[in-house]
Amino acid sequence: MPEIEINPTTRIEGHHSTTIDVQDGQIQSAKSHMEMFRGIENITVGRPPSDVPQITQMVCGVCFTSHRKAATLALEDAAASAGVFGGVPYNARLLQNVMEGMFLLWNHAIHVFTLAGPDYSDAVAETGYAGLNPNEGAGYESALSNQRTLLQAFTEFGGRAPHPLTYAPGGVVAQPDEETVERVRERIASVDEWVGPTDAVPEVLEAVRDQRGPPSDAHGLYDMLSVLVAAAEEGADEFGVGPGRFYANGMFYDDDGGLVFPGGIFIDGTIHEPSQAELLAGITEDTSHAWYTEESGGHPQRAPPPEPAPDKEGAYSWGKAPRLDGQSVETGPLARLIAAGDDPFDLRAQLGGDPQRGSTLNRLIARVQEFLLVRDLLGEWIDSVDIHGPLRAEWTDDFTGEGVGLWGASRGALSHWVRVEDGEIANYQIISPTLWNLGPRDKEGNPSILEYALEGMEVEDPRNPVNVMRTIRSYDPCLGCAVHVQDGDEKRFVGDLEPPRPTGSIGD
Amino acid sequence: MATAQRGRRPEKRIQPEPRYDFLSLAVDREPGDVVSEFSTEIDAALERAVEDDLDVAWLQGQSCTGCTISLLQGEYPEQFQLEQFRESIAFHPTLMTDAGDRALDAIETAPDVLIVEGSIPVDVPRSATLGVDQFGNRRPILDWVMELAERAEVVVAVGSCAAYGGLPAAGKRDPEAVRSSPTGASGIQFEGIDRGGVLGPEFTAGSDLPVINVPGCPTHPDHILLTLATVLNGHIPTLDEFNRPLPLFAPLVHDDCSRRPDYEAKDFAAEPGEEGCLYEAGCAGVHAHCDDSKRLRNDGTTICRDIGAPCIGCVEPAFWDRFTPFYEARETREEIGEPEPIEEPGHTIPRPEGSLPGLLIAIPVCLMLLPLLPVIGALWLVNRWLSPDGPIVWREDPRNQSVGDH
Repeated sequence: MPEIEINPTTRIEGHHSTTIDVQDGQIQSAKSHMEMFRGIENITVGRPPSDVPQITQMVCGVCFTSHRKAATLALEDAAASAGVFGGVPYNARLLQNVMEGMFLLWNHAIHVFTLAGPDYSDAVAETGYAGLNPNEGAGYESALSNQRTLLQAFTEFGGRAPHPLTYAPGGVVAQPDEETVERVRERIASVDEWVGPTDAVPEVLEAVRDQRGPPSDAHGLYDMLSVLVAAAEEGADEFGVGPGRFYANGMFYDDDGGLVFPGGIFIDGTIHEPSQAELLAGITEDTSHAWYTEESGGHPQRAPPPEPAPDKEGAYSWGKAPRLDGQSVETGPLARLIAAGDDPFDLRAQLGGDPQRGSTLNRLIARVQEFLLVRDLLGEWIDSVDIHGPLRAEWTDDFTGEGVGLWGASRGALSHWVRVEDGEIANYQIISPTLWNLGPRDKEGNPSILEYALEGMEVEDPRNPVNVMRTIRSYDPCLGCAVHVQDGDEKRFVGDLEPPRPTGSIGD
Repeated sequence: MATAQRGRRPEKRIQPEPRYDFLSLAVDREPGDVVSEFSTEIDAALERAVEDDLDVAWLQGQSCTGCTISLLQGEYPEQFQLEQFRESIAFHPTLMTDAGDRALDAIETAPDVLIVEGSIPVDVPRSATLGVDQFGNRRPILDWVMELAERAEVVVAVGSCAAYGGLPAAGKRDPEAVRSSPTGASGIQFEGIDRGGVLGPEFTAGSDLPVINVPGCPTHPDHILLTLATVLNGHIPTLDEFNRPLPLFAPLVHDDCSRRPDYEAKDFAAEPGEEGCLYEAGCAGVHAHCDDSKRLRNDGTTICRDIGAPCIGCVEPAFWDRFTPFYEARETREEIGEPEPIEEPGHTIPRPEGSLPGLLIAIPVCLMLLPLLPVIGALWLVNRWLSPDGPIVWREDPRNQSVGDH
């Protein structure tokens, strides 16, 4: 069977596949399969709340800090509702901003340079762009080195990465001193030097278009914009287009008690900002096409942790189908920027046509835009943290209550839902961004975001569905992807499926 | 560099060239020194996998990919080395260049080295699959591991999930009323502290070695690098009772902890993030065996205690059940029915009082045993070199005879 695994250093787990039915050069239907289940929500039950951030962080060795963050938020919400918790010191929030910011830069850099980037280099298509060719591209190599520097900076507060130990209910466990902060600044400065100044975007964009080569002070930026221009030339603004419904959770704390990226819902061309209660009431999970019992679905605050039903008729995924007011919604950096009404440097308008279109290109552009926005905020946050100020509020596990943690993770809207009874976890649910984007169909047969974006897509060569892979990757799925292609005769190709990726076999 | 060694394997039986045993070199060096001092030689060992066509396959079971990501944060003095590492692994779902059928082809032959990341679901095998079989059915990782392990020369379990079950198996060994995994997750050759797991207690790979466990949550990149480079050079690592390579997992986190003076002074922190020894805040460093206290993480940047976080014991069998709740003092935890696996005198549970007599016994005993090490090592080496089918000559490859440059 033809299986495509997403390529180098991109921490994609090998447990996702997509089946597409191609007839007359067009995808008739697509199924997104999640191929792994561990039952981590089940494992939290019966344990003390303080252990939960550690457990749920280990859901993912890539998005570790996002899960730890959402778990502490859920617990803090639950404890506050029980009247035993008064809130996290703003100083601790600022340190979390710094860590989440560094993490987001790391994550987006990995995505743009090593996951999506190679798809638009000359290694995959004749784009004339060599910088992100994984075999010899200078941009690719420098990204590998800079991702390490970013995580080292993160580790100064995190203790280690992946799987840091900092966030705890009530704030952070950290003991930074002036030297720690100085080392973080130095590491970030070296990454900044690689990227180049944000305000050089228009000028560097011209340089890319004229193929003048990178200016000496903006190597990273040149590569990032090269990917975007190459993707635009490959027509990525026209394929992988979703239903135009977006959902974002907010992220990063503001000094006025709000969030820097506010979050919200964009449906029918309008931005909605529902109250948290309205938003939460509208979220459900459908298990009709998932290998779980029917009872495992419903509203996440009431549904029990998932019970597997591996032989269930009609099921094709270990992922549930989350829905907002009954509809599938896309989440991720594009959703966040649309909800914030932001299109820095008009990149999406210029390159992607409509800045609010959910296209493969716009998803890629939004990651670059968000990278630059957060990079510029990071310095301010680092300067604002008072290392001698309070970093954690008093916390007790001993309470009964329920709560939700909503967070804008690098891949999109993440939510953790918890119920605590007498100091023990009684119920736990996680809805991840990849689930929103890559889950299965619901009971009405309505496709998930990825399935919707793939259906109708033209596939010139079913044996080499380059744009299918580009689209799957554009969601930055935290999974390994495999594509099973069926042709018009319902016959599965088992021959060579040329991967849309750098050629050249190891050991050849 | 290793290119000079290409195709010379038939001669090595008579006159072995120096192939470094990095794990032995690590015995009398500071953690981290071998990787920096012998980077060229490690490089050469990894290159051997490319040049000599040794197949290394890396499978992911119920994994979070954290061990792979950890690998990318390693100390690689030259960029080239990371490149070598990537290229030395024929199949790796995250790192490999190839894909599609060609990717799966890379693991359908017998790999010389099989590396597994993530636990294996035994009760619900379909909860982790890779590819499909000839009938179009999803193929469980369980089947892949059973099949490939039988044909491999060396099997390495990377991370605590593959080694002992890890997070997906949490709750299995805790008699308290916590829920456990519904998938029956297990380690490759251990379940918690008990031998068994997927392959069973008697399993040995082609090299006569059981599964080499390189635990940690995530694993330390140096630990994988040194273990892999050592076995690629044809050396057999010395393992402890939980099948971990000894020099890397010999010390206790407690031994070289920067907060050790606080411990000796009985200056204890009540909560994580406070000054003082973290023992009463739940630190498992007195139970956890690895050299991270000195080796540090993220290219020598920090380790857990540096930010005031207690050790959670992530390198130990039955990690999770043995060490949770994480932030309660160890001695106040309820017994979970796990016998203390480490019976070293003085190390069982080091306490501020009472550790001295233990040490007084342990030091002379260790000193008495030390002279035996070279003898055991030499006997083993002689045995290795005399054995025509030993892993030093991994396997006969016709290409080496026809194309070799000897």
